[in-house]
Amino acid sequence: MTAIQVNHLSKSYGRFQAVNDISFEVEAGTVFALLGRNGAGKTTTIELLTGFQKPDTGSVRVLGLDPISDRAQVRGNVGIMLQEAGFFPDLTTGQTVEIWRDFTPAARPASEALELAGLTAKAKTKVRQLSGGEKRRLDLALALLGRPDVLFLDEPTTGMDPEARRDVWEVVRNLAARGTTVLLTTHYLEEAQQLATNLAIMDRGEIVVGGDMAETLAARVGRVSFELPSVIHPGELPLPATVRGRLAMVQAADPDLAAQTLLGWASERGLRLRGLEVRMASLEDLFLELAKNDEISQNDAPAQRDRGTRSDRPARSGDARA
Amino acid sequence: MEPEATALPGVVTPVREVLAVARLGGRLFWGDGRAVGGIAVLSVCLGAGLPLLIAASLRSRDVEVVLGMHLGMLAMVLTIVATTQTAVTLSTRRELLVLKRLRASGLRGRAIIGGELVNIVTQATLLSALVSMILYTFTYLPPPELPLLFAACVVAVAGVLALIGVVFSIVTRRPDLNAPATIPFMLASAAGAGGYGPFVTGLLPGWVQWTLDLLPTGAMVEIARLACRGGELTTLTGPVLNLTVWALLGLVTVRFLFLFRWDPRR
Repeated sequence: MTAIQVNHLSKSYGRFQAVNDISFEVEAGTVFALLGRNGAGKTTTIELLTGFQKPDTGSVRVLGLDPISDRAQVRGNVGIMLQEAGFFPDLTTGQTVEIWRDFTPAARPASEALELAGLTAKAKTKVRQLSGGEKRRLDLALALLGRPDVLFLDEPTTGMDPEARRDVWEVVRNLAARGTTVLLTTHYLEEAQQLATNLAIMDRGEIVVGGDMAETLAARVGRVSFELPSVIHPGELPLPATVRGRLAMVQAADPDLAAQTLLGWASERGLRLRGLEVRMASLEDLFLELAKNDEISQNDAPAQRDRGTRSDRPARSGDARA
Repeated sequence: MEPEATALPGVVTPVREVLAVARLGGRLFWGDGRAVGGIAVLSVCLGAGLPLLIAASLRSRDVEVVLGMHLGMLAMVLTIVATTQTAVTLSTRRELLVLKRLRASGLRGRAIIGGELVNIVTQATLLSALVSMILYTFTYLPPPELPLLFAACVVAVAGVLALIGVVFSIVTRRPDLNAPATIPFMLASAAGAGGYGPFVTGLLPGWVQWTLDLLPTGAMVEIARLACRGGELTTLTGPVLNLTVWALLGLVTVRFLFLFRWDPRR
């Protein structure tokens, strides 16, 4: 069952095209990561999905409903953790959650929401005294109050320490396992890779890469790097490599196999490959690759960019589908 | 029976939302000692202090003069508590992104504004009652002959003035400018309502007084005077019409002419 459906969605602010003809679907009970650099259009997309903004063109369906015309029904079934939203600074954490229960039909008990967000110990602390990460956790507690079917998390772990971040990941995983659909944006690529089964990477309002997380990464090359033995010339290596200084790097679709080949070759010659590192393709690599491609395309085709033409982007793919 | 059963939640939910927001606003206000102290002290000093001084300084009892001061200062207090406070509160909450969060919780826009208006009107009514009780206790001013009409008048005028405060919060978006922006309106309201005493009122040219009487506080003085002294209720048609027109103007302005902004960035 499709929980979120986006068809040819566009939104501009004046002359700035924040979201440009994007389409994707998110299946119920899955975690979908919407990634991209600052200003890529992620937050605008979330605001369109939650009915905060009206699309210029295209359509959005959340649980089969229009977030604008069926606003009350949609809001009753979704939890929203906005990237930026304020609190009443003089209320305590516990009071804030208690007050929000008044606005939320069939709300969880405040203690349960605080526990889920890891804030039980801070229940009596005033909001103004919370750290940035703790405020994000309070945000999460409020988003979870109504036991939502769909949860929108806009950069949920920004400002959190690593332990708190992992706690939030656990909460998200448990929610998804119980059938909650989660759409999250994040700058932490590791977070997306840990949580999401599907992704879309946005750049300048467009989806440039999208689809199943595992398949997307599998289509990327991994790499094996090592210190080139001093007696070896790069041309003698069994696989093509790029060498910078003494560091050799081999790119391969199957980096494990490449590493085995290299080790076998080195063993036959009684050589040792110091600093051997095998890396599968990661979102970070993908991101860097996209950034590099973007840089190249900007340098090569400024005139095309001025006209908004994006056809030179090599890594883009069409619609994302979860 | 069935239509009632299905229609009821549709009515109850908005009312529940309005009351929840009003309760939140009340909790924030009454739980803030400095806000309560500041507004209550200011209201009591202005609303009761000046009429008390006038009553004490008059050589002979003059109920008309003291009543005029009472109603004029009440108009000023209501303008400060309802108009200025609504404008400042909404703008500040918008700037703090609290309005955005309230919207994210699923509350309807009219529930958020309506709840805030209910909260402000409650504050204004309670402070008006306090000011009036002080004057009835410590001066020779008699309690209103029609207390329910007096109370209804205060509630209605506070509601209209608070609605005008919403308009101010839209027009003057910056919270630091909201209070200064409402000062001319407050001064005009007080002058028209006789808050500066009979001497100043007497100095106003006729057309100025006529214009100031068109403000909601002008209607308030007429209705409240009748509630205090008694008289024919049929004479209230004009003031009631005045308040209705202001309320409609406020609603139309908020609803249609200006789009209320929930997010300072938009």
